[in-house]
Amino acid sequence: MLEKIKKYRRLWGVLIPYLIWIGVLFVIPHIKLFGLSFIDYRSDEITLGNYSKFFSSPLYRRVFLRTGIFAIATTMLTLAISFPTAFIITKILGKTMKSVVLLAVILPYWISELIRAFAWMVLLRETGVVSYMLQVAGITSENVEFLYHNGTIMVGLIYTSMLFMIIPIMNSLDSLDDSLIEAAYDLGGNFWSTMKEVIIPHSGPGIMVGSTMVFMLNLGNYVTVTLLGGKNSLWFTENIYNQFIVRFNQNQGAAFGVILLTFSVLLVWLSLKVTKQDMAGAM
Amino acid sequence: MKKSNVLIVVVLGLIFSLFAVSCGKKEEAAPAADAGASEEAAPEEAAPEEAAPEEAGGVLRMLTWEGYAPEELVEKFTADTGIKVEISYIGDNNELIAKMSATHGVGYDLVSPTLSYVATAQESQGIYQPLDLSKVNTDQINESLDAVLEGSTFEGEPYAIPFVWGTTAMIVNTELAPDAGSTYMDLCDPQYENRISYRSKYDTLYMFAYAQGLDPEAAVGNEDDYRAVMDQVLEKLIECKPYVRVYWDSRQQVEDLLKKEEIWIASSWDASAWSMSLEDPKFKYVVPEEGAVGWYDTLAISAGAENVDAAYEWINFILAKENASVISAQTGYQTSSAGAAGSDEMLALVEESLPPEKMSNINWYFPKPDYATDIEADVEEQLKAAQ
Repeated sequence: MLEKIKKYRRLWGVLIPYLIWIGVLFVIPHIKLFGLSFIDYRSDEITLGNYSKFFSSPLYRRVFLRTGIFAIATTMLTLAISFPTAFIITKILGKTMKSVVLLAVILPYWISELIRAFAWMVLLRETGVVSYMLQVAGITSENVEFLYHNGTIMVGLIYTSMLFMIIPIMNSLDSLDDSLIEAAYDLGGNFWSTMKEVIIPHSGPGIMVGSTMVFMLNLGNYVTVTLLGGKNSLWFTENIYNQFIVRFNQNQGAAFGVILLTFSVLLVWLSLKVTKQDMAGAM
Repeated sequence: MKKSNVLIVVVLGLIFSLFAVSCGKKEEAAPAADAGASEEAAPEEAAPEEAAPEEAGGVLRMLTWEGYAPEELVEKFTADTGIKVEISYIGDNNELIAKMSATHGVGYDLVSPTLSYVATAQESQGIYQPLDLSKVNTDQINESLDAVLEGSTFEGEPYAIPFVWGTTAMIVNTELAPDAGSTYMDLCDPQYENRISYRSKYDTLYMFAYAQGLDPEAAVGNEDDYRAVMDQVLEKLIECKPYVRVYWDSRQQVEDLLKKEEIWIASSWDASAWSMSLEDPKFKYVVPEEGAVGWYDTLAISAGAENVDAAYEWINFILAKENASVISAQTGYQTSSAGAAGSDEMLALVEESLPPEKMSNINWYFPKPDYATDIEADVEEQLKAAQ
């Protein structure tokens, strides 16, 4: 054991800033949050009431379920859009086009999420750009409202998190030698069988990392959902916000936070199990 | 093989840091608990910092609403006193209390809570410090002073100076919805489907309560009564939800929706509506028969204030007639400064919207116990989740 630590002495040097980072910004706050979630907000006594409140309330259960299903569906859609994009960037485009397209993918992320959500509002609102273009094209004669639908939330979420899917998939596709794809064709494979037998298995870790990140980002999103979702936007993060800011009930908010975290960790663990990968392999 | 070794090192590192944290936490915990336990500790903390103002005026940190500290006045204040001003804005009284209670008031010197929230927040969170009225130039404050001091009294000590008052009712685009505005139930009229906006917050709940002949203030003393009133309000709000375009969150958002004519009727603060009327007279602030909802914003000093003297300096500065008049002229807000007034055009609008009979019929915000805040939050969440 000691030898191993010595052997990885250099690695430790590299890890220390990371450990401080994760310790101060992740571990300590979460320990505190976990502790808070077992305390009653009025009597300061230890209780499970904050958790039973969640499970006994149809409202919170429904919002939670809705948030979970939306986050999963959005992650799948993001994957469906990002995989072909990543494939085209890495395998089909020439060098120049590759950097142009990659830049186009990355560029929007130089702007904050809030501004990007507002940009969507400018485009999609009733008196917005899209509605205007449809009228110019003669498709409709009246203003059309695209904002405040469930679909709008999904568009916003996909746009917000797409980069985090494309980059890991590109990474894993980059390491797939083109000759392997050629060999698959030489051995009688067609487009679909090559995809199924060679390309997707090889990019599995990338897909897994991308999906994990996108799912977490969707689940924890607040800005995009509330701005684009309007009167029906209720997302579980909004319930957490309400507990902290409107009701001053940090303890209930902490319990909700722990429930959300547990759910996402469980789901990621489950999908790793199902796809027979481990996190180290995926990374 | 190699990868699994890396993983072991990472996990070991995590366990080690967890261990270190849990040890460190015990030592930290004791003093932190002390600070939280005794509320008297907060004013004492301010003592060592009394040296600060002597140096160069220091910094005054304010937490207030948009329009309450116009740039013009901030510059004048800094020029007069040498005190720099840093301002953060809030959009909601609950947000103010949450920000203050997170640090026990440390980080802010002067804040502008609404009167009905001052004493209850002091009781539950202890975020303000009692006022030293000998430092306040009370001569320049109008007759509202005594009522506000009394309204903000907790355990015998007053906590708030009156600053700005206003009302909430409706703003109407008189070209597109000429008949709207006689009752709050126009916010639920199917003929304006999709052209209506209001907040999903307490002031809207009161409007809908008054419109149904309910009296939330009379019921607030009893948890069950208040829930019964709010349940009826919720039922009505859910019934009206299909006609709402969006629940607005900020003054800027509702003004933008109105100007683009995406909405025709909205709940609105008076000053916001009056400044829109000045730009375009088709927008009108209308007070329906149920009466406006009224509020009184105050100036209160944070329990964790580091520059108490600067806070009093600002209180005396902003309530001077010539300075308060600047606020009224720019924003339409009515201040508690004796004799202060905005422009003539603004005064005409105020008198048109709030003639004496409507002035005497204002439903003022009432102080609420904690359970009332919880009940209102339940209504907001259920409304948002209703399909």
